[in-house]
Amino acid sequence: MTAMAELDPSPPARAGHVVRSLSEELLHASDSKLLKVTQMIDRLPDRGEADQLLAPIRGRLAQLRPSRPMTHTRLLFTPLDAVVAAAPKWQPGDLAIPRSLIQPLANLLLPRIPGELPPDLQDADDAALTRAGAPLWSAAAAELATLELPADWRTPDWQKMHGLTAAMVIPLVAPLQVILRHAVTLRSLPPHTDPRCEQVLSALLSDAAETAPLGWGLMLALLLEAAAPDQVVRSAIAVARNHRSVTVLMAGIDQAAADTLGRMEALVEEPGPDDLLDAGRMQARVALIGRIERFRRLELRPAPEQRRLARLRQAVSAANRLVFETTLQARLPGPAAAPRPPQVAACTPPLAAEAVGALEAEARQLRRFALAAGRLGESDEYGRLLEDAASRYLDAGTSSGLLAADSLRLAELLVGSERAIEIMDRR
Amino acid sequence: MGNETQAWPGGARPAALAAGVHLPFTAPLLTGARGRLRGRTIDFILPNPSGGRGAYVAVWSMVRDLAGPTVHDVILSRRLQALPSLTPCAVRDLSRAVAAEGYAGRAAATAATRAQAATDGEALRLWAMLLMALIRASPIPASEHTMVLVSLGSAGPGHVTEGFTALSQRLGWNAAQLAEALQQVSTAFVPIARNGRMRRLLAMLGSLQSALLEEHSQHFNAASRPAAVLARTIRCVGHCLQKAGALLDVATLALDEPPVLLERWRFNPAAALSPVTALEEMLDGWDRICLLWHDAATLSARLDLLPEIALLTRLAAENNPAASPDAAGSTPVSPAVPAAASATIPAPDRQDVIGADRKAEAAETGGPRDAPPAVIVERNERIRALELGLDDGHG
Repeated sequence: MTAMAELDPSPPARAGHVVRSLSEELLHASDSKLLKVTQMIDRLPDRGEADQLLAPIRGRLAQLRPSRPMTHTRLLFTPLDAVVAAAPKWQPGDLAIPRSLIQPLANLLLPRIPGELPPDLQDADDAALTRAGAPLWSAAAAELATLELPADWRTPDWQKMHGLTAAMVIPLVAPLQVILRHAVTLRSLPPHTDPRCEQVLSALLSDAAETAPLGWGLMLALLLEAAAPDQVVRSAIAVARNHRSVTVLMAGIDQAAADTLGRMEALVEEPGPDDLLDAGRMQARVALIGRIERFRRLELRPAPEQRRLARLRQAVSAANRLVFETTLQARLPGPAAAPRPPQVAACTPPLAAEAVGALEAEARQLRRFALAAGRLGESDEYGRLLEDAASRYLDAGTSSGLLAADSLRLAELLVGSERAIEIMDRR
Repeated sequence: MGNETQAWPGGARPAALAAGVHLPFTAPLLTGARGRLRGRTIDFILPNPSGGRGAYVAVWSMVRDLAGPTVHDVILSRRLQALPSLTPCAVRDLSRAVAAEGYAGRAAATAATRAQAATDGEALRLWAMLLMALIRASPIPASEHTMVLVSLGSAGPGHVTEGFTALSQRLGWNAAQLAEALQQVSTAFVPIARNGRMRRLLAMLGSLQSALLEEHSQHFNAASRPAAVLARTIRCVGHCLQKAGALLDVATLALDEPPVLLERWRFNPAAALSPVTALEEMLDGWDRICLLWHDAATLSARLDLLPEIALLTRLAAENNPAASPDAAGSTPVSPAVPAAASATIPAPDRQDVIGADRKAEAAETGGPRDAPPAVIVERNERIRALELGLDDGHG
């Protein structure tokens, strides 16, 4: 990425060309390289055109969840993360917020919010962000309730700069208001096993129904990402049936479900490296499996949607299996992959704790992935691959530099405790 | 189970079972497990996996079927069966040996080896300190004290040399008995030595109490059910802290008077060592509770941990009636937390405690008991290394 330095001094046309070529390069970059570039861009005082670099890879960034500076703007719109769409792809009526609206809206709202804004939140986790964001979201919701668009937002200059018109923005205000008002609840939903979950969903959806179709659809889209889809749809149908706009609400449910499916499909289409253990890749894949699984629980869905889901499941399953096998072979090839002469092997010192720790971490992650991926199919095959890997270490003996306990633990991490105890007792 | 309240007809309470000893297993469902001898077998007392009231009592074959022990747990349980008695000290020594072999991971193995060396070193220092106190109490001229200590000390504990026999006779002791006394007392009092396990544990308990109090006062609705559960946990911690602090003072005073302590040992060894054994029993299992909290680095992790802390705290208190704030004669120790009548204290409920702060994706990645087993085993092994490190005053 040495061309980055060329961005600032270049004339606009040249910069645009550089941005396009860098974007193309980033599309195929490894996760770690992607994270480095993102960090660089985040450090720029004025991101300008550099921000466009990220546009084509935002899907991958969402999966990788890199640690990014938590600005007040980002905190303000955190509850809407799942429904923010790239400006060029957004159209009025979409169940999404155009990214180009975020900065101007933040510039408008943040100065009006009384009190101190939260200090540095760089290391804050979800719960800490929710606590820090709660007063911000509630104040922003209050501001939105009486918001009048500034006059300059209606000028051609503003509209050209942001690719939005006042007529596009106005319908988004009430939905944004309802979502920010309920942001804390949205981010703290009880688990699906909690009997209170249905009540909470019902309350959120009832309120959102008053801002149908857009507010209703956006709320549904967020809930479908955050909670169990079957529970969300059940609650939504119950609310819709008793509402005067039953037809609009029912159509909104279908649109939100289709959009959620579309977002999952987009994730699968993102190109990425083959190493499962690269940065946040594993977490993203496991999360996608969970989302597909939960989405499958939806009942009585239209046939085309079911076919799309089946195709998605098949594609994810095949891709998972391939990347798992490649990673397992590359990361845990077994000591036999590096043969040594007998006289050397006989006096091999034990591997350092760090090396064993790294092997164990990889084994642990790969088993975790196999258990998750097996839920979409081929669980026996995953089991066989893990057994093979465990055998490679169990059969290696202490000449590999692994202590007896190390080998047994690696087997335990790969094939589970019960199986490892059987192996231990047999030996 | 989670909605039951504690209410017994006529205010009667069931008799407490014999206290169990904390067993440092690593499997998720064995976190906080305790054990007690029944004849020649061990009863394993397991926290209720649902998070509700009560505990399961099972023999090992049932534990294997129900709780999915790790390889480390299986090896530890097999060796536990061979112990003549289950005491916190005996279990600590045995489990340290198992960890040193690497069955809880390399980090725990390193911590175990260091802990053993530190414990041995501290016992030797205490042995020399006791011996010096005896020399000072003898008619030996002060100018010769150091020389005599060097002469006797070079043989090390357990060796009855000619000089040691002579000193014993001058003090009116049988030499073998004095050697035994010095070894037992010096070994037993290691945990309360400077920067010893018990002192570090009490400091951690103090931090835990402060953190829970802050959480309770700032982020919980005082009238809510989760707040009541947290308040009870805080009272348990406060009560334990108060009682253990008093016991530590008694043990420290005893060690300050070596001749008196050794004399007491001569007449009743168990009584002489009782200040430390009582303290060990009082704090048994609290190391895991404190270290779980210490290990939770983020707010989400700590909030997710509260139900588990409540569960383990209750189990630790129930298995040591003296450590329970509901014990007769106990006084409130945390004035900031309103004391609720024990008859209306709800059982901790995982979902309730987390309440409004729970992350949206809790069902996937949330509370410790919802997390994949491998993640909890990994966490427990990390905690295990820290538990072992408590014996290493320089670690």
